[in-house]
Amino acid sequence: MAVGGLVLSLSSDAVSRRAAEELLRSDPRIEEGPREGLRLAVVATTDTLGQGHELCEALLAHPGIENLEVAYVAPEEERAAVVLHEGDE
Amino acid sequence: MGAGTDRRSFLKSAAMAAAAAAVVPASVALAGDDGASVDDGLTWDKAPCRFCGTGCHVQVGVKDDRVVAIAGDPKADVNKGLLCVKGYHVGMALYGKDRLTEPLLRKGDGFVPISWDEALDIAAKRIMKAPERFAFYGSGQWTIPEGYAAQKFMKGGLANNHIDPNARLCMASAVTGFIATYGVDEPAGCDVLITWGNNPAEMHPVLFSRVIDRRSRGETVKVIDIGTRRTRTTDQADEYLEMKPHGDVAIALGILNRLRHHGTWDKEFVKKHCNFRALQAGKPTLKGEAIDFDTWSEGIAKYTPEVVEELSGIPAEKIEMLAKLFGDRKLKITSLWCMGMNQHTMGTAVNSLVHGVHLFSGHFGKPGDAPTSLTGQPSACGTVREVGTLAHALPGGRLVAKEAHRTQCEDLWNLPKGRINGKPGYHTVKMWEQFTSPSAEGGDIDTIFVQVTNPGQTLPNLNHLFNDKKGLKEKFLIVSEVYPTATTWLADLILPASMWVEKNGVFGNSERRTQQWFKQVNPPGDARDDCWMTIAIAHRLMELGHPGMKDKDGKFLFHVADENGKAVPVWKWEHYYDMNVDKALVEEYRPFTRMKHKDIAPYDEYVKTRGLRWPVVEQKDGSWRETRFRFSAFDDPYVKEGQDFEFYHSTSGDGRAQIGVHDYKPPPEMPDGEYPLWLCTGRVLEHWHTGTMTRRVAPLARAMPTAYVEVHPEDAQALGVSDGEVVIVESRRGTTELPVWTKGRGRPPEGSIFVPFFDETRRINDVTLHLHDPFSKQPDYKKCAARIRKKGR
Repeated sequence: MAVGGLVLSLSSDAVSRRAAEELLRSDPRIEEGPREGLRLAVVATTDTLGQGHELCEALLAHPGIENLEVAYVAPEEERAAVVLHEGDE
Repeated sequence: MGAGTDRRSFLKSAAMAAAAAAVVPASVALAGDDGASVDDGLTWDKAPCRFCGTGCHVQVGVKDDRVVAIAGDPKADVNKGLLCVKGYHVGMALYGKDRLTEPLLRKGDGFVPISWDEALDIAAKRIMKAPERFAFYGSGQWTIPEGYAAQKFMKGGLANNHIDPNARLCMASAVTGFIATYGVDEPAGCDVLITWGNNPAEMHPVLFSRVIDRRSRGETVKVIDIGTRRTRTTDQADEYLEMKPHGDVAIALGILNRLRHHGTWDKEFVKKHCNFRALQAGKPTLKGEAIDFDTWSEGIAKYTPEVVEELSGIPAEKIEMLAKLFGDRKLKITSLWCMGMNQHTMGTAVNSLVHGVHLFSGHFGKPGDAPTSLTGQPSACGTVREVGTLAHALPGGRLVAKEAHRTQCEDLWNLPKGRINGKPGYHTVKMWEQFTSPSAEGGDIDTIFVQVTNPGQTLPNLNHLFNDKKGLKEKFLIVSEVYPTATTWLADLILPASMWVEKNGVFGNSERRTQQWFKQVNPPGDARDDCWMTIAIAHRLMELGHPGMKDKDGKFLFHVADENGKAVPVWKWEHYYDMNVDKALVEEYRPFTRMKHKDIAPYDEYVKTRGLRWPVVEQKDGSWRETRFRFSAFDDPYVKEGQDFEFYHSTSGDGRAQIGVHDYKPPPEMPDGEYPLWLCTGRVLEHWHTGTMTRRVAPLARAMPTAYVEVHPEDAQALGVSDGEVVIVESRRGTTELPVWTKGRGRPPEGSIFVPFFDETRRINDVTLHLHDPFSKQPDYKKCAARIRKKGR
C-alpha cells in the first residue's frame, strides 16, 4: 500500500475541468481535500508505488489537469532496489 | 480497527495534511521549529533534499531507525510543501540492496574486505609517500563542513592545491561568469521567463512549478524557451526559439546590439552601476581590460539581427522581439539557465553576455527581474563556490595565488607563515589527465581520493580521462561511496560512506541559502561519514610524522574541544558524535564568510530555520536577518547609504558590474561528412545525475529504466533505424550502444541527437568531448560531432 499527498492544478477551461472533477470523484483511489481556486489537494492510495506512479501519469495526461505536484509519499512497500551490473539491459 | 488500518489512516491523514498545506499555506506543521517532533510512532525532522541545487526542504519520517515517509515541508520558502518525483523518493535512495558496508581493498580483479584501521593506514601511507602527487576530488554534494575539512586538509595541511570538485563540470562557467560580471539572483514574480538552453520543467521542476502555477491562478507569465531541442519546458512555452548549438552567444550579442541601436538600454542604471570591459589581445584574463562605451559599442556593432540569424538560426525578427522585451522597463524579466550555458567552450563568455543583457537593460536585482543560474547539486554554491574547494581558491573568495590571501588563511587556521602553496593546483580535466597518464610519461598525480561523486561516469571523454587508469600499477584510486559505481570499478580502495540523513550536514543551495540538518538514522554496516574520513586520515598522517597536520602551536589540524576546552578525539569513529563536529567546523569557517560580505549566521540559527540566505547579519535585538536581494539597497545591509545598488567586491574595485563583449567563436568540433550529427547530453526527470541513487529506487528505475538516443524521425528513416532498435552511437573518441527513441519527451531537430548520461551501463561520456572553456575549465558536454551506426555494420 502506498499513500501520496498530491496537489492538482486544474484547468481554467470549464469543460475539461468538470471532466477532471468527475474523474477524481469516481476513482476510489482518490480522496479530495481542500481546494483554493484551481488548486486541489488529494490523497491517492494505491497498492504499490508503481501503481501510484501510473495514476499520476494518467492524471497528468488528463486535459482538465494542468499540473500535479507531490507533497507527500509513504512508501509502505517496495523498498526493493535494482542491483546494477555492467552490461545490464 | 486493526493495526494496519490505523497505520493507513495515519498515513492518509499525514498525506492530506501535507497536500492541504501546499494548497492553503500554513494550515499544518509537521515538525516544530526547534527540531524533531514525535507523532504516532514516527519521528519527524527537517532536512534539505539531497538532490539538485533548488534546496527544497523535506520532512523526514523515521521509525525503527529507518526513513519510512517523506513529505514536502510547508514551512520552507523554497518549495512551500511541494516536492518533485525525485524528492519524494529521496528516502528510498538510502535503501538499495547493494549499499557498501565495509572497506574493500582491490585484490586482483576483485575486492577483499578490510578493517577501517587497515583502510586508513593504506590511505595515509599512500599520501605520505608522495604528498605532492596526491589529489582530492569532490563535488557540490560535499556538505559545507565536509568540503571545508577537505580544503583545510589539502591546502592548510598538505600544502597541496590539487583539490577540485565535479562542479567544475557543471557550474564553473556560471561562477566565472558571475565573477567576470559582478565580482551574483529570483524567478517567481516575473512577467517574462526566458530559459536559455535549459529544461527546468524536468531538471528543477519545483522551481518551474512555482512559475507555471501562477498561470493556474489567472496570472500572465510569458515563457520563452531558447533551446536546441524541444522539451517539456517547450510544452509550457509561449515561444520556442530553436537555435543552432552555440547560438546563445550570438543571441545575447544580438540583443545587446539592438538595445544599443534603438537606444532602449537603461542609461541611468548603466551610468551609475556599470563598466565596460573586453578581453585583452594575446593572453586574455578573466578580468579583461577596461574599455569605454564607444569601444564596447563598436565591439557589438557587427552583431546585427541578420548576422545573428546566420550564426544562431534564430530569425532576425525574433532577435528584435527579445530586444523589445528587454527594452521595456515595466516588464519583469527572469533569465534562467543551467548546464546548456555552462557546459560550453564559451561558457564564461555567454554567462557574462546574458548578465550583460540584464545589466544593460536594467533588468537586474529586483524581484522577478534578474538573471539566474541554476545549479545541479545541492551545495555547489555553499561548498564549492564559497568554501572554495577549487584548485585555485581558498575559503571566503580568497585565491591561493595572492600572498595576502594566503596570509589571511594561515592566520585564521593558525598555521606557520608560508604553509599554503601559492601555485594553483590541477583543475578537474588536468588532474585526471595527469592521473591516467603513466608516471614515466609525466603523469604526476599518483593517488586520488574521490568523495561524493562519480567521475567514472561524469568525466567527458572517459577513455582518455578515466578508463586509461586500468593497468597503471603505480596509480591508486581511493573512492568513498555509498553504492558500487562506474568509479568503484577501477578503485583500489573503497570506503563505505554514510549519506544524507545518516549524518549531520549543512548545504548551501543555488539562491545563497544555507541549510542545516541532523543525523536521523544510522548508516548501514560500517559505513561512516566523509568528514570523519578526512579527519581520521589527517590524524593518521600526523601519527606518521607529517608536519602539516599540526598548527603552529603543535595542535592537530582538526583540534576540536568540548565546552570545557577538553580535546575530543573525533578522529576515532566511536567519539565522532561525542560532539557536533559540523558545528565546530561551521563556526571555524564563519570568519571567512565575512571577507566578501557573504556572512553566514551562527550554526544554531540554522537549526531553527529552513535556511537563511547570506549575508545574514545580526540585528540590534540579537536576531539574525537574511538578505533576499543582494546588492539592492532596499534589502542588502552592505549597500552603502544613498546608493540604490552597489556591486561591492566587483572586479574593478569601484562597486560597479562589468558589461563585457566577447566575439562569437564557432564550436571546436562540428558535424562533418564522417560524423554528421550534433550530439547533446543531459538529464531526465526521474534520475539524478549518474543515477547511482535514483536507479536504486524501484519506481524511478521502472519509470526510466535505460538511457536512449533521441533521434528525429526523418534522421531515423534515413538511417534505416526504428524505435527501440539498439544502435551504436560513436564519435572520434568512443562508442556506446543505445536504443533509438523518435517519439520521446525530448524532440531534437534533424541533424541532432540527445542522450541522457544517467545510465552507467550505456556511458555516453565515452563519446563526449573534453575540450573546455579557457577560464572556467568546464568541458562542453552539449555539443560534439557523432554518428549513428546500425549494429553489425
